[in-house]
Amino acid sequence: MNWQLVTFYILGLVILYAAYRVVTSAVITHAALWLAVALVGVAGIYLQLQAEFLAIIQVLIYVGAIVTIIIFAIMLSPLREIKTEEKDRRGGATRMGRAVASVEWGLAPVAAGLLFALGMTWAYSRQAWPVGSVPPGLITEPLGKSLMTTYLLPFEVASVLLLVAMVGAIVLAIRGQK
Amino acid sequence: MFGIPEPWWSVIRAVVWALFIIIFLAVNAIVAVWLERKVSGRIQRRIGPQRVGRPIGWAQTIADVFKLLVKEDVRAEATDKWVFLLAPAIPFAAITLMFLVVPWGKNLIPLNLNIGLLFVVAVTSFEVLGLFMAGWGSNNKWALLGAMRTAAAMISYELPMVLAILAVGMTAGSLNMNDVVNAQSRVPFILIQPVAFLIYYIASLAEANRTPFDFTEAESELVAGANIEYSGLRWAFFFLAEYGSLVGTSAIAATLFLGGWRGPILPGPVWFLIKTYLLVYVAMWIRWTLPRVRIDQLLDFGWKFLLPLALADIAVTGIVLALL
Amino acid sequence: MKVADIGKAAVNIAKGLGVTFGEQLKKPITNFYPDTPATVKDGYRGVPVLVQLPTGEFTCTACMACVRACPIGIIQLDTVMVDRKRAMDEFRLEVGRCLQCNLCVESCNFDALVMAPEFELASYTREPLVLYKNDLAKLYAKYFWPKEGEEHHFPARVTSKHHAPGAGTGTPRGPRAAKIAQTGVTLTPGGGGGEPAGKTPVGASVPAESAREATGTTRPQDTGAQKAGEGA
Repeated sequence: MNWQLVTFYILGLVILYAAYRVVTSAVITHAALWLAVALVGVAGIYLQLQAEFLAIIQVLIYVGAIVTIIIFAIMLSPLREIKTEEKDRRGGATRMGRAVASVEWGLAPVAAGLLFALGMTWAYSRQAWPVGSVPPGLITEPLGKSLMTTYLLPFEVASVLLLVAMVGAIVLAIRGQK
Repeated sequence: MFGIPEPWWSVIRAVVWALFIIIFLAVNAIVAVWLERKVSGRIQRRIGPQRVGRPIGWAQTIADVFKLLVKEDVRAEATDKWVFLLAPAIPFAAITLMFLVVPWGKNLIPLNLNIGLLFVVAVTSFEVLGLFMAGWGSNNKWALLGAMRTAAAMISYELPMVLAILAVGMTAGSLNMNDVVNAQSRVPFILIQPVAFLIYYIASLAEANRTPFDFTEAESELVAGANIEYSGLRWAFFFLAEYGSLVGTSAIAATLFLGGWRGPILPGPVWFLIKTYLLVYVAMWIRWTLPRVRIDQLLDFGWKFLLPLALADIAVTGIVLALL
Repeated sequence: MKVADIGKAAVNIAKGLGVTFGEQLKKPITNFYPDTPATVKDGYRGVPVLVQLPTGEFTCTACMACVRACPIGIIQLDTVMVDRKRAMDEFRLEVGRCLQCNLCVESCNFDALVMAPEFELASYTREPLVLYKNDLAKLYAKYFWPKEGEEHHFPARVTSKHHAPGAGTGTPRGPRAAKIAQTGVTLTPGGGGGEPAGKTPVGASVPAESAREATGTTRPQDTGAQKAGEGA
């Protein structure tokens, strides 16, 4: 029994189910929370690949910042507009069955997911991203060095992009005040 | 070791550490609540609890724990069932994870992660998720307001906190908790990075929802904040997490700035506990001195003062390190 | 937010922390009440009690002033005719509803009601909170009867102007008392204006009844007047 494979499949199922619930939840808060579950699952996959740094950054940025911001946006929205509780109280299994059978909740997301998975598999089989072995020791140092040397331009472009977004948000907020 | 094959040995090690951390947090809540009552009493020239467990009232919080254990677990009909039920576990889990990388002594660390500092920051961000789930799931306006304020405070104070931790990482030249402690073998970082310590400590007060930043349960305005609808054991978990995060942030501060387990004569864990609870005491002392600030003051202070200060601190640290 | 403000705030926070730290070093002022008896301040209003002399006589004349003065009507007074004079037969005070407003004491023309500093009346039912004349007399005895070898002092009537010298000897105060005066209850102007009314030595051995006979309807002295008399 390969434990790594088992944990991978478990994590994969969790991620897939959570991702499915993200797009199908009627309550937007639930969608945000399922998103957090999916992102933590992805962090788990990173951990399995011994990319601890990436896993922690994933949790820090996505769960700690992005999901929190989403949640904050939800909380600041008028309650009546977003709170549409699913009133379907009939059995979970049949509800699930009907959901899977419907185009909106079943076919469309599954088809989209399959398409994406096939595309990724195809790209991967074409050796689009060659995988090397994990360098031993600290990962932060080479990462930081390459960000400041090889990938300096993309890094700076991304920073400027974020800065622009921030300035834009401030401008919008100030305009809203007046 | 002891004739046990290696994979099983690490499993046993993990289980023992996990149990130790959970038991430590439970005992900590009992001790810290007792300490809080005593400290608040002394500050107000009272004596605090003294009847249950005479003469110092040591059994008062234990009695409270038993009271909580036998209380009914109430869930209102209008709550969001699973969100409501799962919420108390998350802050507690986050605190437990935080202790995973805290060194208790030489080679006494549950998980020697290379990026322990980042790990601490990452897991603390779960806490806000749990409080939000509690606030949202309760379907109660006070709870939601409390959760919203907490989320705002935590977002604002996580940034200066991370930057302060980063300054320590830069000074130590590593993000590994053991390396940080070893780098303080001669001088604790509070002397090298006093500004970072202040920023971290203020931010950690906000992160642990302590007065003057206790917006999660601003009793006088929000009744009790995010955990208002909870009772019994579920409420106890919030309480555990609250005091856990107080002792957790204090433990991190002790490790990063006060030299962790390092100290003369006494063994490492003792020094670690002394330093941690010294900072816990300071937090209590601050709590019973200062009133709660307004939420807009809190955000102003975080974004307009602490964040620039932390950035300046990082810049100065970088320049000094480059020159040395 | 100016930098100077932050500096000022830091100084003030440090000051505050210094104050609270200093408080921790001081001795607590906790009163271990159930273990050690608690004390109340002078002038504490607990329960209005009936003055009963050691001879067993009540100084109450059943004038009903207190009954009328009570804003919530918790005082009941039964009268009986003794020697063609009205006298108090039974006195009933529902102390559980008492406001401690002191109006009954202030309205009493004979200082037959005084406030006793009793505060441990809590009970599980309402019945023990209804006090009759004997209960009130017992409370009076508890607080105002002389100890061994002491002279009996009538307690000072605690009024709103209790602290003023010579006060407490005057006529009943307040609009309600004035109204009572108009409605025909006999008021003796004897103690008016802070002047001690008569020089009757008030001791445990002097029955109030005889004092009353001697000076018509004079009131017994209160402590303030007595002290003045002693000083003279």
